[in-house]
Amino acid sequence: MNVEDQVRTIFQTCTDDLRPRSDLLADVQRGGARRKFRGRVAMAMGTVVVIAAAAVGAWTAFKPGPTIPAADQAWLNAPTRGNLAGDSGYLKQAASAWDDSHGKSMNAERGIFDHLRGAPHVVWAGKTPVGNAAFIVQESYLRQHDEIQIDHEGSHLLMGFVGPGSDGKPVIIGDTYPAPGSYEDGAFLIGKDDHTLVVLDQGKALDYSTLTINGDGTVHRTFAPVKFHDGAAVISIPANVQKYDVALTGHGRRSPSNSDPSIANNAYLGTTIGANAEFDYKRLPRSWNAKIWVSGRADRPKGLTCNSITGSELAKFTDPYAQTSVESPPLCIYGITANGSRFAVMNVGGFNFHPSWIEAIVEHNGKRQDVYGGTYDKKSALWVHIRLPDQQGWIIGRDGAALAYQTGDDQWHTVTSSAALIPDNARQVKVTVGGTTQIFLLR
Amino acid sequence: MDSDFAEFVQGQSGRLLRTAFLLTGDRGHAEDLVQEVLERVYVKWRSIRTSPAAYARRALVHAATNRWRARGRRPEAPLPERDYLGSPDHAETYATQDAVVRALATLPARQRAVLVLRYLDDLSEQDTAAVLGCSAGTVKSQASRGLARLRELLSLPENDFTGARNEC
Repeated sequence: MNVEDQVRTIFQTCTDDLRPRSDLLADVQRGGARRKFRGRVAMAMGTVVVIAAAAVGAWTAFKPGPTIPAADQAWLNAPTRGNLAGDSGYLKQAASAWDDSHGKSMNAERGIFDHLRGAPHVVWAGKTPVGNAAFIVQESYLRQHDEIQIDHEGSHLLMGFVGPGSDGKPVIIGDTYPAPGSYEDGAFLIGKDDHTLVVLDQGKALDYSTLTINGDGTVHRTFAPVKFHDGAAVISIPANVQKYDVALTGHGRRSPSNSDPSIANNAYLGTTIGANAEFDYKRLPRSWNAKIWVSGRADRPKGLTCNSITGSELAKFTDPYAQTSVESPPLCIYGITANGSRFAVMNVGGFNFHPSWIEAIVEHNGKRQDVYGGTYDKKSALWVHIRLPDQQGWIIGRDGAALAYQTGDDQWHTVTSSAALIPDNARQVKVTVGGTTQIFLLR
Repeated sequence: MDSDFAEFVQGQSGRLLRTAFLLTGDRGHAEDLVQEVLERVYVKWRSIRTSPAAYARRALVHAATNRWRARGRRPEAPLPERDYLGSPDHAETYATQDAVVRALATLPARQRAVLVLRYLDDLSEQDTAAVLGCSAGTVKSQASRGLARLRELLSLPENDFTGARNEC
């Protein structure tokens, strides 16, 4: 077999198990309908946009031609804003930090600093509760090549994000250049644990939001308007909010859009400068990708099945602003209990660096309820242990494990699969993996 | 329009997902990209003159390339470690899929796209060139370099490669 056939075979076998989710079409039609509406609004607003272009507005990237767009030129010409605008010493330090940072940036290999033009210009500089910060821009001639994605070869505006270094002097946290079809960075986080958000005023009303995970596994976002003052906004993020769970969106909107400014250093992949984020995924292993029927019946009456759980039912456990993928639950343990209740136990969550958690959807007499089964703990002997309502039993499970349970009779009852429905009066589970046995107490 | 479009999504979304996965290295990113691209196709459905599948594939490749840029990452920057716990059979499969994804991530974006379009999507050199907006000669040379690099990174044998089914 030649190398082409080898690669062909490897590609095919490595992607064989990938299937689109069942609610993709519905989501596409909804999203497509929204795009159509936005397109019509943009066209209707066209004349307003032209008139406003002369003022300092949004940092633009899509105007064709070799020269810098007028709106970008306006950024370079506008006086520095913020309460450090008059601190020439700080502004010089910020510009110097910008100049010194290029060699350390991942974007250097894209050549974005090879043809810098003019001098860097600080568009905003200000004091924050955790130190000084600034946004700095500079014109650069960007050439088209394989490693860069620009809409045209020519002049573009680079932006740098200036935060306080450990010695108090300005450091560049990240840098960016405009690329069509991607999010524009317009904010960054500074301070201990990156919990102070600095947002540049680009002429667009914004909301910021933070995520809360409730005790029953549902999630919700809290939105608040971004209040700009003299060119920027400085927002303190609560200490109990993970920085990856902070997002910016257009004012009043409650779903993400490509036009939302992104936060330069809260992407889980890290920034262009400095160390990458430490990854500590706490998700239930994707390899346990199974639909497991646990009721021991050969016939499977119609009713609640894994495929019948819709995206809208799971929406309360998901976050459309998630930086990493919202966990598509590959695991589903389903069945029917003695009183005819149907159930599907799934893993949800697991986005950003949150752990997966276990939810059961139980249907009885036509009514469905959610039952929270706790967060997945990879150190725990038993990964799934959720008690169904009305004493209908426990669902237990762990991929690759031999399981047995004990009630009050001191006898171990073996189960024949990696997941099972066991009696409500079960007290403990014996979990054997790779020759090692552990006991997990259910209560 | 809706029934035609629904049929298109049903027929193409799996293929697009597999392409997107090898281009991005991440299942979640791949799903996001596929949805984004299909939304664009939905908007333009009535005005697409070429094959919608070709249009979608082109949009996918460009969007995948942009996504790397949007996160400020070099294509060859390391991917995160995957947290894996599972049976030995799954471990081997997972490890090999991981190796392929990591190997592809080290390649320049265009080279990666050429390999995926040629050897997963089975496009001809001409069709690949049309998707990428380059010449067939460029496709040929990028494919040659990309294959050589993959052979080295994945330690592929020179010939008589068998048992490929067991690799993933």
